[in-house]
Amino acid sequence: MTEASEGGDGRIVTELKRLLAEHQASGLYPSGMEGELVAHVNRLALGPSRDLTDSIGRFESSVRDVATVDFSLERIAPGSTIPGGAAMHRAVGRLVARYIEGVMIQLIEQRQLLVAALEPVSDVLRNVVEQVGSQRQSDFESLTAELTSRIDDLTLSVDQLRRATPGMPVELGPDGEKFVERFRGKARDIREHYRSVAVQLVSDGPVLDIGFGRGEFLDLLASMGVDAFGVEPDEQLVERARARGLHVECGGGLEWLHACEDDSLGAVTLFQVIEHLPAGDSVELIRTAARKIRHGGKLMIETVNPLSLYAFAHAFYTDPTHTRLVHPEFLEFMVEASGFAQSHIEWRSPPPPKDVLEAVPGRDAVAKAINENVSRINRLLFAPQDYLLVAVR
Amino acid sequence: MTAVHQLLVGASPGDAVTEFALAIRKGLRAAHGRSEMYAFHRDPVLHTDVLPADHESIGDHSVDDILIYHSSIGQPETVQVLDAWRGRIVMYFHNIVPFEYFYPYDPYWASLLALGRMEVTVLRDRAVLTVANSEYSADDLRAVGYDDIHIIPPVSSLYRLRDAVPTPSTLVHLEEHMTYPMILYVGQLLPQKRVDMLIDALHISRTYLGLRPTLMLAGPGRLGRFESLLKNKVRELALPGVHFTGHKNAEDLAALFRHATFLVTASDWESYCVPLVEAMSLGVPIIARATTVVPETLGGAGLQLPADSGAALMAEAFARVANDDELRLSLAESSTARFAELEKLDPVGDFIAAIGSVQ
Repeated sequence: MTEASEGGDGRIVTELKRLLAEHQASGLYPSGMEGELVAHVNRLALGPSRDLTDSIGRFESSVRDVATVDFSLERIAPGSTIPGGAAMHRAVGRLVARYIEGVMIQLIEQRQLLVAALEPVSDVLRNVVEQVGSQRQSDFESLTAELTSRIDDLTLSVDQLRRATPGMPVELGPDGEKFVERFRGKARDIREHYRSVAVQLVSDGPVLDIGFGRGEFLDLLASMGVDAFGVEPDEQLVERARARGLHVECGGGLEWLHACEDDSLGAVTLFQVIEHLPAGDSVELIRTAARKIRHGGKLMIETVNPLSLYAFAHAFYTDPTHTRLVHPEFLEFMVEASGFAQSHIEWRSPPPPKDVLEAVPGRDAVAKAINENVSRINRLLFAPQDYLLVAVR
Repeated sequence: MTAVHQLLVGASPGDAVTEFALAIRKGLRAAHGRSEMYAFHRDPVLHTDVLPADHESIGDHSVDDILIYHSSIGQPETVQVLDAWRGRIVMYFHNIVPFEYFYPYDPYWASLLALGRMEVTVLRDRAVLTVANSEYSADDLRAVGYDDIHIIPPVSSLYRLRDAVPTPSTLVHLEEHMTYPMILYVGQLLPQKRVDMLIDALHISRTYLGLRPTLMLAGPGRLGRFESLLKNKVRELALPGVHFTGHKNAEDLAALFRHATFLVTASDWESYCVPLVEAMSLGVPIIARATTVVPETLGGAGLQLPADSGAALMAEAFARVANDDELRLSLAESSTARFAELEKLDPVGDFIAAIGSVQ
């Protein structure tokens, strides 16, 4: 029915509208008919209860009855069952007629006064009911507005909660790039930092790099001819990496890992990623990686070292998106439990020598004791800031 | 093998969401998959078939398992259940009626509808696959940040009414007692469906346009106060020929559709209107206000009145369609043609394929 429909604007709809206008103009429809019908529904929905309206109706009907029922001498039955009684009634009636008429006139006057007194009561009741109805309408509208406003507030709260929840991305907007440059270092330096790691994967393609950030590690792998692809939730970073010709996708690492065929990957790498994830996701990620990496393939996870108090003072808290530190022993346990055949830890990013406590010169017992303590303090305070777990399936 | 379960707020026979979920489960089980349905509210008829939506029933599951959440109204326990679900979640959004329609009649129900919208927002980041019942619903999801949305209508059986044998006694009763035209409305008697406008249009067509119509309102009330309002309206307008049939089985519905002069809907808000599809399956003419998802469902079928139409224009449409044989035939043909397009769809198959893409 293409012609008739067309989004409600077809030929037949136009005809119907014209017909409606004609009927309205000709007076076939009473003026304000539709408005009255809508108001009728609103009265039923929001107005006084039907019982109350019915009660007022009954009251008005009773008042009308009082006004219309008349007094009449004819309604006084003249008959009698006593022999001669009717004649006696007539005689007595004639004698007292004057008095009865006087009483009846007073009764009629009283009835008129009563009806006159009751009629305004009916108006008052109707007004009160209408006012209650409009008050309910007004209450409903203000309650609806309040509920809408509360839902808007709640939506805002959920959004704020989402942002405040550990593991949720922190929006730094246009400052994000500056932040990464300042706290992660220049891309060139990062590539050099990871070169020794990339070398370990030259025969382990395809490599899935989860959370590739600016893509330095993917650049390194590409330069070494290693088949690799990356996944990153930040769309802008993905676009930039793609523009450089890297094989990348936007999304969550866990989802992409799930989507991979079992035993299809040579390696999975996560550099400075796992400290951003909820604990449950980290565990699931390791278990899933164990299925997706082929026999002999590698899982590499680099993260902030919780054994280094220096890392707390520097690396960990400079990035507000860090959720939690992951203990190396826990990671080792998880990879072992998930079926990886072997694993080891590489300690990385030692604090700058200028920050580390120096040994005192001398070889005597005192110097030896002091240096032993310096060494212990250094291990506690100035341990390497990162560690790299390498697990082989 | 990955298990694929489904979570519904309510499960009752005849309900479009429930029927679609049952069809999906049948398809998944046919493929030798593990698949259960869980619901917070279960019709007694489905007590053994649909499991209660609690931690004990859902029990142990793997992180690879999938739970399809059918979102159609809020439920305070939903987020708890989904939060405890360690596997993946698929969001099937059937859309949620704007709460304002229900507030005057049932504030609690209104609050559940508002809660439902909140749930949809909260679950956004957990959904590994998002499905909407219509493009209209998909737009609602996009507005709260969802993307990559599959559109699959919840139609489990296009031929439910066409295959049903009309109840003979109902057909005889309709033939002998109903005046012409017999206007059919099918659906729940809920505020957003604007059944009140249908009654007004009937009143106008009878009082001013010379029709002697019958209006069959075939569907359960659900909201006592609103149903009472409709009955009071009919009584106060002293309107003959309006019948509240309550819930009807497929055989009675088939009889009503086959006897109807046309199907009508004045609904303000629909996310997917199954009775329109059922009318088209039987070649029944349709008059509808072109609101929300209605144009998407009807395509080029039916007499689609503008979304802002009132009762008077609808009454004019009643009179025109009832009195114009050629137009009625043309509308019936448009229903049949649109149904032929819908027949090419395989919603259950599409849904199972979409699930397969994340399994």
